[in-house]
Amino acid sequence: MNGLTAFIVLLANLFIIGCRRDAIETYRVPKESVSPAVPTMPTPAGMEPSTELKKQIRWKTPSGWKEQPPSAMRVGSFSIQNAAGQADVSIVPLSGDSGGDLANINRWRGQIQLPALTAETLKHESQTRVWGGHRMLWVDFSNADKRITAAIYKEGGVSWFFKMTGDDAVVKGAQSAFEELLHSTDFAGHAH
Amino acid sequence: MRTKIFSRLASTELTLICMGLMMFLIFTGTLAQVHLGTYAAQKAYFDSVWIYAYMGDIKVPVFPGGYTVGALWLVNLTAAFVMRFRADSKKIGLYMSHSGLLLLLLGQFLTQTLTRESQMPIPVGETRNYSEDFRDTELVLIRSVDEASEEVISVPQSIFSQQRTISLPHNTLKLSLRAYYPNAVLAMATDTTAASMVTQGIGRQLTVHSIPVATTDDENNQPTVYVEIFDQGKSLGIWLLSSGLGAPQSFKANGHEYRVLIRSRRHYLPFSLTLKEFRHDRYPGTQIPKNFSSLVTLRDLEQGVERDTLIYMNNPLRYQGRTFYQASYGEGDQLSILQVVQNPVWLAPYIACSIMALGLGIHFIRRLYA
Repeated sequence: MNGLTAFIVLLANLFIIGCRRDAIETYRVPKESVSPAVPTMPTPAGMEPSTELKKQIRWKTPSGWKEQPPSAMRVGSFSIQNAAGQADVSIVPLSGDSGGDLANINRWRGQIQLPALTAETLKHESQTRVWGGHRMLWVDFSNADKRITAAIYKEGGVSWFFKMTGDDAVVKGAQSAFEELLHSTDFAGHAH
Repeated sequence: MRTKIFSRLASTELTLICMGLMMFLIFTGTLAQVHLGTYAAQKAYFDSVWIYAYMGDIKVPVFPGGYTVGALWLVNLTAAFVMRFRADSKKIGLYMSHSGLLLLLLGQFLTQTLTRESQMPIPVGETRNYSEDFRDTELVLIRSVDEASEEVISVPQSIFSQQRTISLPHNTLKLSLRAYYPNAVLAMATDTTAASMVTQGIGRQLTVHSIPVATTDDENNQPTVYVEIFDQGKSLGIWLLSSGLGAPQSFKANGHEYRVLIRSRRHYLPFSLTLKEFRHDRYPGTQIPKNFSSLVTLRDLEQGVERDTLIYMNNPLRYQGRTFYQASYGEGDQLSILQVVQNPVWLAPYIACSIMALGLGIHFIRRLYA
């Protein structure tokens, strides 16, 4: 092979590499699930809401709500069940703004197959309301037979997420009790 | 004639023209980052054959892009090397430094063409065996195969943004793209909204507003399509799909339930990472970050590998040709974001620079004692 041939072969190869096209692919993957090795693992240091935060918050559980044991993330956890179905309520404190209100709210909307909001549309889809002297961001979304009602309160570098999610009729019916919970909550250790 | 073209290609004048063009490209491309952002400027100026300008609505090529100038320069240097090479032991140093420069240019071209950068966001306690593209998306149809696995048909954005009709390989399904928006926001439809063409799924309750394509680095596009799905020539309905919809929609065809959605393009790995712990340490009494680190378990069933690795600043995990860097975090420190870089020619610049340095050294010493 002389120099000129080698040169042409090199250019042709580069041309082929440079012109790679995307193609439709079909492949098989394992179903997505949480790794079985992990749930038994203790929550790493620094990940669990601190004992201080757990001690700090107090509330009055609305009647008819069944208190669930708190998990690694939740300082409060409740289930509501009636003839119309069921709902789950959680109280989760996270440090900082934990990704921002918009990102968290869009994640919740995704859980009930609603499209993401922009910062502008969130203003119309949310309200700022006050319970027990605390100013909170309130959102309420429903789609088909599912509903999410939530409130976010920020104080002292901690974001507190109160979220109620489940069957539309149950969540809608429990909204006044949810507001009672928000009203009764004290972030300094004494229930109202 | 052939020799004349070849000697033109190998000329020093062409080298100087290429150098001038490249300097101009780098200068203007750097300035363009101010209003376009790094990503868009790189795409427009360096990862392009031509740089375009708009005259009214007409796209006009105004200057050769990085690919054109780089390729021309590579051709010029290779031709010069081939033409002028004479086996002469006295010039071995010069030949080596020229070969090094050629390798450097070639390596850069291959890096730009072959490197894949993506991200792997992993919530604490979860396992991932794929990374996601920053900007590229895919339209996927997923069906369950058995209890443990599912089949994914992935249509890359480069295809669903261009083709009106897409036949899926080894499948009776066919997609017909009714409309494509590279970036759009979705809103709930009201009584006054015009009737949507959508007949299936959540899209019936939504309206689509096309917005300009995002160019800055902190914005993402939301590609959105109206797609009609056919099975064996029979229409199943029209869906609205968008990366802005948080969850998949479903339909039934030939006895299977399919989920369909647009999501960030995934690149599956032959191994998995489980995030055991993410640390975001701060200096005591302040919010100033001191350390970010991710403790991951690497599992590769094929190779029989299972080990824990700590990924932190300047200490990435390198495995099977991929490098995992600690890039970001989120969700109240419950999510670690790893940058995944797959560059099969990452050694090229190191080898090229070593050859050039050695060649120049040899030439210098030879001249010194000549």
